[in-house]
Amino acid sequence: MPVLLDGRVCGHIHTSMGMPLVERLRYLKATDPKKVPQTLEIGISPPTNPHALPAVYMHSTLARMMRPVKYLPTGAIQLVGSLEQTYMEIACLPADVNPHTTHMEVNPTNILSLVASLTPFSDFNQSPRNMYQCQMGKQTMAIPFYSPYRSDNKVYKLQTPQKPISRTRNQDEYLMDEYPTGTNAIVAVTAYTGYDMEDAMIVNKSSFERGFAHASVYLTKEFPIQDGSATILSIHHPIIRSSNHHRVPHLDDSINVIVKIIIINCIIKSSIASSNHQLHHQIINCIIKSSIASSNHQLHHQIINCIIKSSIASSLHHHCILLASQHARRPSGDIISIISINCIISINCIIIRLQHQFILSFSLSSLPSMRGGHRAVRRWYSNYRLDGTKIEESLDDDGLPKVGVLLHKGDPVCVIVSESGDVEVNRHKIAEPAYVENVMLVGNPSARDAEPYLARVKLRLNRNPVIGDKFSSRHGQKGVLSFLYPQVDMPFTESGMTPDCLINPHAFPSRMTIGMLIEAMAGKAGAQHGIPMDASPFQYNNNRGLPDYDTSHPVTAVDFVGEQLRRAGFSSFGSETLYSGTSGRVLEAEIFFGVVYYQRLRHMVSDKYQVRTTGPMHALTHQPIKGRKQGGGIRLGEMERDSLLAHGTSFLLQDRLLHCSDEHQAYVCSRCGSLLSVISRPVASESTGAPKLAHVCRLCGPKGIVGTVTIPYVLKYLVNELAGMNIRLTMQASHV
Amino acid sequence: MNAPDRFELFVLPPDTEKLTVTQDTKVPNAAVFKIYLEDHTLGNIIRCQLLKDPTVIFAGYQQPHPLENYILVRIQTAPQNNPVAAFQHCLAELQKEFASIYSQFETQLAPHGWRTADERREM
Amino acid sequence: MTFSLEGTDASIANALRRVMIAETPTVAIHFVRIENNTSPLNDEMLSHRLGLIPIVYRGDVRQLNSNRDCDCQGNCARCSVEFELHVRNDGEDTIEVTSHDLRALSDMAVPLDDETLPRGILICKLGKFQEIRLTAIATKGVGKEHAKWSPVSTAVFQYEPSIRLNYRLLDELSPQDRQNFVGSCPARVFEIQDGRVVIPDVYRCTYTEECMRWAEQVGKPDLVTVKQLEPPRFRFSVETTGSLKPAEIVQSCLITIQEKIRKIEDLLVTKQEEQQLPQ
Repeated sequence: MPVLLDGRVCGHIHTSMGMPLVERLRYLKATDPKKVPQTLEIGISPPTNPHALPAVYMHSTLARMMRPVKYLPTGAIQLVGSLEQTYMEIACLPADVNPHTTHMEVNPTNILSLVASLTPFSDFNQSPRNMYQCQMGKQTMAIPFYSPYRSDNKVYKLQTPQKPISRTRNQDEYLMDEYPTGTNAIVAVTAYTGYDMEDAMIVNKSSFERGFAHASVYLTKEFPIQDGSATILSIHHPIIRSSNHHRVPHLDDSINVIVKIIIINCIIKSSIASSNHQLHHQIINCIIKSSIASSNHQLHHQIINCIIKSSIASSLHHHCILLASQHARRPSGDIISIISINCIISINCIIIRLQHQFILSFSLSSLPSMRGGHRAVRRWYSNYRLDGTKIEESLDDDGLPKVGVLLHKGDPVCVIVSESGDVEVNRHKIAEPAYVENVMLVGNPSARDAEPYLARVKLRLNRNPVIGDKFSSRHGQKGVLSFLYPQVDMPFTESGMTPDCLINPHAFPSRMTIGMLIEAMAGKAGAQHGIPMDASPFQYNNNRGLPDYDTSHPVTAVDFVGEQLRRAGFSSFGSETLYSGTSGRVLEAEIFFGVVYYQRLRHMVSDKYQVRTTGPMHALTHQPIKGRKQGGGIRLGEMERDSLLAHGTSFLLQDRLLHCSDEHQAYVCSRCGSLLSVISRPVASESTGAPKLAHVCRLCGPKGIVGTVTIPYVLKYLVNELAGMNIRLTMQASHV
Repeated sequence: MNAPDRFELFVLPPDTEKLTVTQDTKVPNAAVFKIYLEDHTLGNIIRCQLLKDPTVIFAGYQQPHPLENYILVRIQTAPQNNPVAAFQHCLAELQKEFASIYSQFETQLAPHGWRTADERREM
Repeated sequence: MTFSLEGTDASIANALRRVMIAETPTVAIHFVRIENNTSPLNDEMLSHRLGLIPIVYRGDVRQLNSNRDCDCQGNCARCSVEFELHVRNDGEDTIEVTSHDLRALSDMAVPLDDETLPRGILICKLGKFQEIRLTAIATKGVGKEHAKWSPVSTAVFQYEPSIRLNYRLLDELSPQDRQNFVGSCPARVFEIQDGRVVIPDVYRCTYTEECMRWAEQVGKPDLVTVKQLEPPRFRFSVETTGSLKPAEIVQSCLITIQEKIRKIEDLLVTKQEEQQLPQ
C-alpha cells in the first residue's frame, strides 16, 4: 500500500505492515516529539474498506482540525486528526476499553459542541430539547464584547447579567463568565393567575424594577458626506468644482486673469480629448463668450510645464486634487494657487484621456456649473449655514448630537452643509426614542487633509422587559412574558420570598426537561450554601468510570442535590409551602421552587408589533400595502375569510375586505353594463349655468343610463386588464 | 410601549368617583360597591370582616382585571339589614381593630425605647 | 424585628404585609440630572442604581408632600431632597463610587449609612480620568409605584404551627429511630434533650411535613401531626432596607390602612346623603 505525506506518495509498504507502521509512528509521536511532530496526523485506511484506497495518509500542514485524546500505552494526551480518528479505537470510559483500544476520551462530554456543553444537566433532558437550547443559546441577549469603540449595525446587550449558579465545566473553560447570557431567577412552578398559560411567564414587577433582565439594543447609523456614489466621481468632483464653478463666474476680476487662462487651458485640453464634436463646439463657444484677454506668454509656458509634470506624476492624483481644491477655493492670484489649479487641470486631462466614459459626465456637469450649477459641491458637517446662522438648536456646532441626549422620532441627528448653501438634515427615523451612545467621525488619515467623509452615530435603545418579550431557560423552555405582576400579589414562601417569575407546570410533562427541574434544585442549594454547582452532564449516577464508584449506592443528581437542600433546611424535593399573596392563606399544594438561570432572547415585541388603522395604499390596486416597516396591514387571507364566513360574520367580512381595503365608487352604464365606457365631461348646469361634470356612456351616448356602484377597486382593474385581452366584462346593473 | 402609566395606581381617572354603589335590581338587599384605586389589601379584609356579620348573607370581592385599578365588593344581607349599613358597620369594625393593633403595638414598643409616631412628628 | 399578632385572621395579617411592602411611603431618588458621565455605566443604568439606594429621611416621611401634588414648580424642600454626586478618578487605579459619595444638599436626608456596610453601597467603578457629575432629586413614593420605594426587604408573617407529638408512640421507638425521626425534619424543629424529643421553637417549622412522611414510612402515622394553630396566631418578621426602622414601618402601615378605611367610610356617608340610600 502507498504511504502518502501531505498527499504526495513517498513510498510503499506491504499491506500487512501498514498497521504496525502506524502504531509505531503514533508511539513515537507520544514519546519522541523530535522524531514525530505532535501535530502529525497518521491515518490509515485499511484494505478491508472497499470504499477508500488502502494507504497510509499522513498530514503535517497547517490549519487542520485536531482534538486531544488520551493515548493509552503512555497515558499522554495526543492530538488526533479528523481522518485518522474514523479508523481508531477510542474508548469513552475505562469500562469500554478492549484489547484493540489504543485511545480514550479525556472527558465523555467532549462529544458536545460549545453551545451544547453549556446546557446544565443536559443528560437528563429529552434530546430534542437540548437541540432547541443549542438554537436559542445563540439568540440570547448577553454581553457581546467589551470594546466601546466597535460600531456594529445592531448589538443586543444585557445590562444586568449574572454568572449561572448551576454551571458546566465548559462554562469556565470557554470563559463564559466573562460573557454571561442571563440571570439567576427565583422560579416557582405553579399555575397562579392564568397569565402563565401556554408557555407564558409571569414576572414579578418589583424584580423587574430592581433590574431583572434589563437590556439595551445598540444601533449604529452612518451619515456619509457624499451619498454613496462611486469613488471615481469623488475624484473628479473637486476638479469640476475648482476649475469651473468657482472661477468662471468671476472671469472679469482682474486678479484672476492668470486663473482664467489656466481654466481655459483646461477646457481646451478636455475638449481636445473629447471625441464629442458638439461638446467641442459648446466649449469653444464658451471660451469666446468669456472674452479672454491676451495671455502672458511666460506664464502660459510655466503652466504648460506644470501640467506636463503633474500629469506624469499621475499616481499623485488624489493629493493634487485635495491640495488644489483647498487653494482654489480662496485664490488670491499668487503662485501657489496657480500651481494648485494646474494640478487640477493636469489630472483632469489624465482622467479624460484614460477614461473616455467620464468625458461626457465631466463636460456636461462642468458646463452647467459655469452658470452656477451645483452638481459637484463640497459638503461638510456643520450646524451653521453659510451666512453663519445656526441650523438645529439641539445639535452641537459640528452638526452632530451631544452624547447622552435622548432622541425622539423626527429629531435631527446629523446636519451636512454644502458650499452651495444647501442644508441636509438627517433625522431620527425610527419610532422608538434612543439615547446617543457615541459619535464618531471617520476620515482617511493618510490623506493630506484628513477631512471626515463619514459620521457614525451609535444609538442606544432601552429594551427593558415588556409584556411580549421572550425568555428562555437553558433547556429549550422558551416563554413569553405575559404580565408584570405586583410583588404583593405574588405567592410568598415561609421566609417571605417572592419568586421572580412563575411558570406553568404544564411546560414539563410532555417536554420531559428533567434537567431544568434538577437545575432549579441545584441552583437553590447552591444559592443557600454559597457555592457554584457542577451541572456538567454525565457526572452523577452513571459515573462508572470513576474509581470510587460504588455500585450498590449510585449517587444520583437528585440524591446529591436533595441532601444539600435538606441541610439548608428545605424539602429534599425542592418544593415549598407557598402562601397566596392576595389572601395570605396557604396554597394547598406544595410548589416547586428553585433557582433557574434564565436567558433573555432577542425577539422583542418592540421589533415585531404591527398595527394599522389607515395608512399607505398600493397605487395600482388601491389596497393596503404589506410590510411592517411601511406601516402596512396584515393580510386577511382565504382561510381567515373562510373562518369569518363560517362564523356568519358577513358584516365583519365586508368591513375587512371592502370598507377597510379598496372600496370604490365606480360609474357604470346600466344599459350596456360597462364599467369602462363611462366618461365624464364638463357641461353647463341647466339651472345655474355653472360648469359641472356630466357622466356619459361613450358606447350608448345619450341613451345610456349612468349610475354609481360600490365595488372593490381591483375589480375595475380586472375589467381593464380583461379589456386589454379583448374580453368584455359587463355588469347587470338594474337600479342605478 | 403601551404599558399603563404608573400613576394610574394613585390618580383617579377623570370623570370617575372613588366609590360608587349599585343596588342589585334582581336580588333584594344586595348591592355592588365599586371602589377605585384599591386592591386585594382592602378587598380581602372587607370581605372577611363582612363574613363575620351574621346578617350578611353574601359577601365577596373581585378585582375584575389586574390592569384596572378597582375592586367590586358585593354584599347581600338579611332583610333586617341593608348592604350599605353592613358595609359601614364592617368598616367601623375594621377601624376599631386596626386602632387596637396600633395602640397595642405602641405600648409594646415603649419599653424598647422606640418613639411613637406622634412623638416623632413633634420632633 | 419580629412581633406576633393574635386574635385576628389571615386577612388582617396579609393586609399588614401588603401595606408594608407596597404602600408605606419612603423617599428614594426619582430624578437625576446628569452633567457628565464618562463611567462605564450608561445614564439609565446609573440612574436606576441611584434610585435603589435606600435614603434615610430625618423626619416624618408621611409629612412630606408628594412631588406630584406639591404646588411648587418642579421640586421644593416640601416635596423633595436634593443630592449631589461628583467623583472623578485622577489616579491610576480604578476607584469605587459608593453611596457615601452621594452628598445631600439639605440635612433632611442621607443615603443609608449602616455599620454593616462600612464601604457603602457600590454605585459604579471609575477608571482613569473617568468622571461622574450629577444632581439627583429624591421624592416620596410607595412600593406600589416602584420597588425602590418599598422599605422592606422581607415582610412576612408565619402561621404558628401546632405540632402534636404522640409521646406514647415516640417512646416505643428505639433511640436510633428517635434520632432518625428528629433528623427527618430539614428545618430541625425537633431536638433530643435527655432522651426526650422536644420542640425548642415551633416557628422553625416550615410545614415540609417530612416528619409526617417519615412517620408514615415507619408505619406510625399518628406519631406526629402538624397543623396550623386554631385560632391562628401569626409571627411577623420585618426586615428593612434601612430607609425606615422596622417599627416605623409597622406604625406607618397601620396609619395607612386606617386612612384608607376612613376615606371609604367618609365617601360612604356622602354617598348616602346624596342618594338617600337606606340606612
